[in-house]
Amino acid sequence: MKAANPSSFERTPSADVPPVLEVRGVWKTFGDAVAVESVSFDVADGEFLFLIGPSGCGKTTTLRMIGGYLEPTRGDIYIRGRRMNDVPLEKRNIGMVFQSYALFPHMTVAENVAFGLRMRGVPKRERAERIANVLDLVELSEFADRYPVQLSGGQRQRVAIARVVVYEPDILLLDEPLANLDRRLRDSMRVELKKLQEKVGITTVYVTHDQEEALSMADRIAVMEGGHLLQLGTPSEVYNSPKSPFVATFLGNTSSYQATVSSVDGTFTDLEIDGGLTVRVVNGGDLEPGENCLVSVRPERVALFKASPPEDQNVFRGQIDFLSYLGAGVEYIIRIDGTDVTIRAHEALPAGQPSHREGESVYVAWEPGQTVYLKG
Amino acid sequence: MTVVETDLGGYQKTVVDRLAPYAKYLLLSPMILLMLGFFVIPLLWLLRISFYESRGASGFGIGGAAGQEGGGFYVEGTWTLDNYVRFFTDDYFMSVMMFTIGFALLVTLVTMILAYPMAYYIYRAPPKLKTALILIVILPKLSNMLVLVYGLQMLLANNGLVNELIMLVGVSDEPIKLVYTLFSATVSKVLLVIPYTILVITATLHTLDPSLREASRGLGASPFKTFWLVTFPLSVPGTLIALLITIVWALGAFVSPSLLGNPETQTLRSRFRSRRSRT
Amino acid sequence: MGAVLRKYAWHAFAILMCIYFLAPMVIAVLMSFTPSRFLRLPTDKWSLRWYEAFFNDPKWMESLTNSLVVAGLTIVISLIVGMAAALAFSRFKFKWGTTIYTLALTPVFTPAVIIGMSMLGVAYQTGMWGGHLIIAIAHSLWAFPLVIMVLRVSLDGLDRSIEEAARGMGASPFQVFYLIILPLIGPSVLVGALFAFIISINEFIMALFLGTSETETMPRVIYPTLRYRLTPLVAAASGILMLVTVIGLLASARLMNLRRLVEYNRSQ
Repeated sequence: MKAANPSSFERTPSADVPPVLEVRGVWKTFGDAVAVESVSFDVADGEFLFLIGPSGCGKTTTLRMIGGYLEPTRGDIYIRGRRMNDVPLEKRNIGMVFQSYALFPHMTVAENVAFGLRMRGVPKRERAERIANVLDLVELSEFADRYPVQLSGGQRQRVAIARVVVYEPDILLLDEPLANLDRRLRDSMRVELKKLQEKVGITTVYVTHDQEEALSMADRIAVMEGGHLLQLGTPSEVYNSPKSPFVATFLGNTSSYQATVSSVDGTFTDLEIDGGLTVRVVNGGDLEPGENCLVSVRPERVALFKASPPEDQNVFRGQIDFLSYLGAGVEYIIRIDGTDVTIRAHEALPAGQPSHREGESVYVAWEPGQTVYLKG
Repeated sequence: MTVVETDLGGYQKTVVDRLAPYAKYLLLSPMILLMLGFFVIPLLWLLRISFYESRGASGFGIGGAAGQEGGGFYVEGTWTLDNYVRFFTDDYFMSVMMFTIGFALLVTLVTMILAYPMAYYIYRAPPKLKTALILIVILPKLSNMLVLVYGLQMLLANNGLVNELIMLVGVSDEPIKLVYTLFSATVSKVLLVIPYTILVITATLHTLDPSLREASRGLGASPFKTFWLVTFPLSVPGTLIALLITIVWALGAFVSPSLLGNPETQTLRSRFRSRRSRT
Repeated sequence: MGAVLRKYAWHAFAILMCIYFLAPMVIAVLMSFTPSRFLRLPTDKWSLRWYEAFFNDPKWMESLTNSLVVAGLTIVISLIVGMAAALAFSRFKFKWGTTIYTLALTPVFTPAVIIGMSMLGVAYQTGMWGGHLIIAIAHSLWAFPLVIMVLRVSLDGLDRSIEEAARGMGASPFQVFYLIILPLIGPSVLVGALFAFIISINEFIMALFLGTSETETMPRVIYPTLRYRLTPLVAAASGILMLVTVIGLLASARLMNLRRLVEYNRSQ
């Protein structure tokens, strides 16, 4: 299934420009435990790639192998075409931003930013100029002589980024950089970080477990689980056409059901799910009658009607079981009449008041094209 | 997506890179050399000497005279159990040894009885007091033991503060002889031994999960029951280590009795010393 | 009522213990201020005459010099050995880590007589016997485990990602050590040095076994004087030792939270 409306900022790496980072069949085992299993991907110049997954999925291990903090058990990592496996991390020219920021507490902001330049033997005069520029970029010029303890969380975060951006590393590596900030700051930092990344144009790999972060900032997202790379694609690809049940459920809310194909009819296919309901999907041409698959639909694709639902859609009548108010929207859980099947529906609330109440009878409806199916 | 085969040649490893995998052993090597050369091997050497045939001369000949050619009190390259046989059949040595062991056990007992409650007190003390108490406890261990012993001597002397206090309270009209008694010997030796005992037990108590104590209290146990049924049993392993350290120290310290106790409380080691100084 | 009484008894016990720990030292130091020719507590008058005598006596001054040389060497040896080992223990995993660590601490729990006596052979065979260095090595056996303990608490408290960040920014392992780790654990290194100094300056039995009259340290001069010629001069010497020790300990307490030494969970 193709994304309905690809946004303009989504980029896929083009084949003619060599990728900045290549991860080739990388494994990492700790004793008997496999942390990362045969992971491969490329990151193009200037691309913003997200590694996302639940804790323990191997995303941080992968990031640390790229940075040289861990050595792959098997497989190769190339940065700008150079094999990195034996290269000690201080010679890799990477910029790593830690969740704890890891600012040097005994150095001022300017000294922290100067560190990478000093290590590269940049002359003092040039150093001062570049530090001034980068502090200007992150809007911390007047804090140059402060120590990290004298800064707020958001400011520390910006110093942590400034001090690696300043020496123009080949790749910027971010390990849950926003996890230690409170929600409001996190939202504004997300925007700032994205803008900064675009302004500097630096190739970036970003690890997070926060799907909102990934969906809002990424050029491409790599979803990992249990050491495997499950899917790699643009945010709308992984969100709208997940290739596995895990990806479908991990990114955003979804209602999913086990189903059996009952009839194939040209572009449309009918599937029977538990409770005897029939759901219509758009056939990609790969479904045969009798096959088992998983169908799912995003809550925001499901519309509710008090009466006269549209035709040519999947329509069921049900009762609102539960309503959760989310501020900017409301989520309903509807139980389909005569079954135990429930479905989630999301309603944006521009006017402020939910249009339905708990216990109300409604029609749920969504277009067959919005139904995602996964074979197997 | 093409695999770009543009490996820019192998990375030239520096000396540091080559040594990096061995870093942890390199860092440990000074300690291992020091420990082997000046602790383990010397101890084994001491053990080996005990199996040499004696040359008849008594004493520990190395200091000065033994340095000369052929000097020393043992015959190289010999193996014998004679020294042990002589030791265990010599009434004098045996009596000294029995006394040393008995005295060490007494010191250990007193030390443990005093150390555990003190350690527990430190463990439960508020932070600032805790730091102060640790300083006070560690002071005797780090101070010069002669200063300590002679300070005690002054304190326990017939005209010392303790006797003045005793007479003031009216327990006795005359000063009680405290110096050169088993009492003073014990008091001084315990003071030399107890600091590490207290610190080891305190450290052990700190390894316990404080929530266990809270849970016990929450389940209705009194503070005393909590200590007896939860804290104490959990602190036993560390306390046993403290006990071991205490016994070793109690057997090992040898100067204080010869300074403070009467001749009967001289331990094997101080006996050994005085023999050496005579030869 | 009983509970209150128990509480008072509890505090009283602790106070008595503290008196037990402190009184001998306090008495020893007070004696040194007596104007009398005999060792007794100064009752109405205080005097520094015995300190004057101490600093005017070439024999005592020589022993002070010897003590300082040995203490200086002890600091160097125990810091090198202890710092390297502390780095190894806190930054690397060893198969028998806990066992090796416990073994490394055994010398500090070994009585001085045993160390002193057993080292005679090595001292003699290497020709180091009677020198400052061999005494310092013996003292280091007591000092380096303390350096390891102090530094390990401090090293384990450092955020590891700070070092990783420095490496990622291009610093070599050595640069990370002297630009990042050393400045951050500086106070603890100083505490380790102070502990080594205090141990060495006060230690007497090993110095007795391994030194000669050429390398007599202060405690070695105190010992016979104490046995045969009890004058307040000894008290002055003791007073100086105590002064150095107490100042060293208080400085350590300022530099580092000594509580962490016992609060630190070895099993982590």
